Amino acid sequence: MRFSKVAIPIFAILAFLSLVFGYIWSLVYAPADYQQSQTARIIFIHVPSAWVAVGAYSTMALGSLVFLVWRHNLADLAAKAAAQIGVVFTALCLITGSIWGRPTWGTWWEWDGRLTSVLVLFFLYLGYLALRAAMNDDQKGAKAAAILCLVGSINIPIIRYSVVWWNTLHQPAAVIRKGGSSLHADILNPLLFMGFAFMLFFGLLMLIKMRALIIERKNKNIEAKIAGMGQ
Amino acid sequence: MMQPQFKTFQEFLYMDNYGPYVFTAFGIAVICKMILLFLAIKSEKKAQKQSQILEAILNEKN
Repeated sequence: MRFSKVAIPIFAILAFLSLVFGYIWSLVYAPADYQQSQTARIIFIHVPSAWVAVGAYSTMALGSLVFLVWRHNLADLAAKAAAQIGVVFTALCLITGSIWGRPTWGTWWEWDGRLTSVLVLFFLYLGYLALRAAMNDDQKGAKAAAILCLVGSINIPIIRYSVVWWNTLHQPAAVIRKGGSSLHADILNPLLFMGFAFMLFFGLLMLIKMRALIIERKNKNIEAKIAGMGQ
Repeated sequence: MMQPQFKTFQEFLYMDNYGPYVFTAFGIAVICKMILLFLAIKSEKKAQKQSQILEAILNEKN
């Protein structure tokens, strides 16, 4: 709690400044693509959203594993916070991808391997959150959701390799691949910077949400204490 | 030194006829982030407020 008190303002300032700088860089200074023209600018929000969506799920999976093995409640809260953020970034990735797909591919949606596996990720997030919300017993809900999350983590390598296994419409990996990135530095640099800005923002949200969830859990303990006194 | 890719503001908005796609995508991204931040701060404030009320009740009972 003391850490978050110091870290939240620092993260807030860094995230705000880097996002503003990143948006200006990608909208005004980054060059247009020679084939896709100005629509290629959508890459600067679509790809970082995908990174955060997958990163948040990995955080969830790690938190779920630590919670199931060592019964560490803070890890469970981290998983819950990551799920609440990750679901929005996954939706953002799908929506921006769809908007980009229309002028580039001529369609809003295609049942391509990458698109479908990210849609599955979105449903996994929804399932995780719904399962937690449906259970009256917090601990039972957390345990069931953690198992679902770990089973669902099989989807992460599927997302990564979907463009290799089912190479249909979505382009293959361009940033992290053997032999280095295929993107020109003029596109790669603002993209990496936006990825950094999105990650900072994710970190900020995690800190605020974790703080809120810790206080909520403390409140539940006090409520139980008060209820016990009344009996 | 980086150079702006557009000569005029109109050219920037027009984006070679792709303005609606680009600005819709960027607009949704900004709105999503603002909503996420607003909801996170709101839930933290609500929890803090609830905590103060419960602490007061507990102290009263003690």
